[in-house]
Amino acid sequence: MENAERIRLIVSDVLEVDAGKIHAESHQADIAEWDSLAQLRIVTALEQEFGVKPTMREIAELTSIPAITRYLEASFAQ
Amino acid sequence: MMKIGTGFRRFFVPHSLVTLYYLFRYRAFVSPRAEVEISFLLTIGHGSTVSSYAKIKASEGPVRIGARTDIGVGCFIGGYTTGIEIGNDCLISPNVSIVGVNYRYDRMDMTFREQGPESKGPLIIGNNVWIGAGSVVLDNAEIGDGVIIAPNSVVSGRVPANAILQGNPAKTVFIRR
Repeated sequence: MENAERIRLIVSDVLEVDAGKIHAESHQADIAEWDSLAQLRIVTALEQEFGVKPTMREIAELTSIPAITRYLEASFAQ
Repeated sequence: MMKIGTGFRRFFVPHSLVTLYYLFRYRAFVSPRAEVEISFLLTIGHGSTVSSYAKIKASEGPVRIGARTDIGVGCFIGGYTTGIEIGNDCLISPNVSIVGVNYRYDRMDMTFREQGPESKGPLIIGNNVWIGAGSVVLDNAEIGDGVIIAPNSVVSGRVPANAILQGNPAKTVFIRR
């Protein structure tokens, strides 16, 4: 499964939102359930799934599926 | 039963005098609309504020509030013999209750009132703690530095530094780093 698809499923699972409502371009602002605390739960799930450990500053930037995808790709490239 | 001295202070000392007392003694601003007694058991650090309709009870035990800490509108801080300690630079949002006491409930043949209050130990809140509106912090809780508590959470026990908590009972959602 592609990373973008895995991220989409993680986000929908954490937010308890139908996976069909979250697409490759989804942003925090588009999804009511994606509040600041849900953001932290998403990050925890990403840490468990991908073994990454973003800083607080990076976490503040991970507010969309594309941003998360870019962050993970950059992490894997290092 | 309320002691005579406590009753006298509550009924006859005007709130404006309380405001001036804490302003000159501790350089802390206590709103004239807050219910705070002049008591040697209560210390408030310099630069701290206590907003309107907040109530701080320090008649049974020490309540220490650090420097630059804000106590929001409608908060209740009720200390008992074991005391309450709140650190520096804390943000206590509106309607937070910090309750350093419980009623005993081990006897079935007595009412809770008859069994009386007890405290398992001091209630300690570290430095730079942000407590969301409507939250409740219970007796003997120990909250580490840098903790964030989401609104309407109920907190007891030991909370590690930099944790972010949510819920009833409050659970750690994340540890800041």
